[in-house]
Amino acid sequence: MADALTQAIRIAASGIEAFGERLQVISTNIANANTTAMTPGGNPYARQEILFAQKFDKAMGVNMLTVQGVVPDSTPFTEKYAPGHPAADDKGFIKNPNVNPVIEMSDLVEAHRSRERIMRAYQMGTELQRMTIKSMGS
Amino acid sequence: MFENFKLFSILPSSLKFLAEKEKVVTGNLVHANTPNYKALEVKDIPFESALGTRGKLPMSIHKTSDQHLSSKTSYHASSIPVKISEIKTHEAKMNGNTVKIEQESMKLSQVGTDYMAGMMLYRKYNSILKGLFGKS
Repeated sequence: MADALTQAIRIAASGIEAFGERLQVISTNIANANTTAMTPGGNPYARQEILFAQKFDKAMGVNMLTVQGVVPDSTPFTEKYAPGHPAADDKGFIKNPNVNPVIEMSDLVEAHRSRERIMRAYQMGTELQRMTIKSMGS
Repeated sequence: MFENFKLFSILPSSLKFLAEKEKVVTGNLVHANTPNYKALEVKDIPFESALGTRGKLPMSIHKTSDQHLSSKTSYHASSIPVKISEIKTHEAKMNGNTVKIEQESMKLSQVGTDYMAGMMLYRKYNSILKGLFGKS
């Protein structure tokens, strides 16, 4: 088992990685906020959600943060009357994605702040370790 | 002046303790959004127990003659016990998480400062010793 500072750095690294993936999922949702189907009556882009979980890392002896999975949101799609659209069904309605840009933006800010916070913890860990190594050598 | 030498035996255990604290706080910050994660803390311990047995001198110098000087303040610098336990709180988020981000951020900078202070002390004493040996 590694020393406590290395463990702290590794936990923080796992957090940075997981939050990077979270940011990616949110970006995908925002980018596809208007993506409809191309075939009549088809389903549009479904909002994706990321699930976090803690996983015990045997080599390091600590609980890491991992992505358990990315699952589609089951909120119903909104319907809009657009008879000329290629995805319109026989009544002339198309389905729009269940992405709410306001929610995505607030998620984006929250994820970004969390990631920054973990980054600060990571920097603190590396700084303390570097200082220790320097002091032992001087 | 030489009784300051015991710093070299006390300091590592103190730094180790602080590093454990740093690890736990980092874990809490990373898992601030993880469902059902319970925030952990390293229990602070009383001063006396950190310095080993109270009133006794477990590490006194063995004397071969009565003329020898005895050290009056020798401490048994046992390593500080690290007890990690869940923070008892009734405040939990909807997902069962009990991390309070503000508190953990404060703890992180506190631990960082303490650790750096310990490291500074170590360097200072090291340079004093080197000065004694004429290698400053």
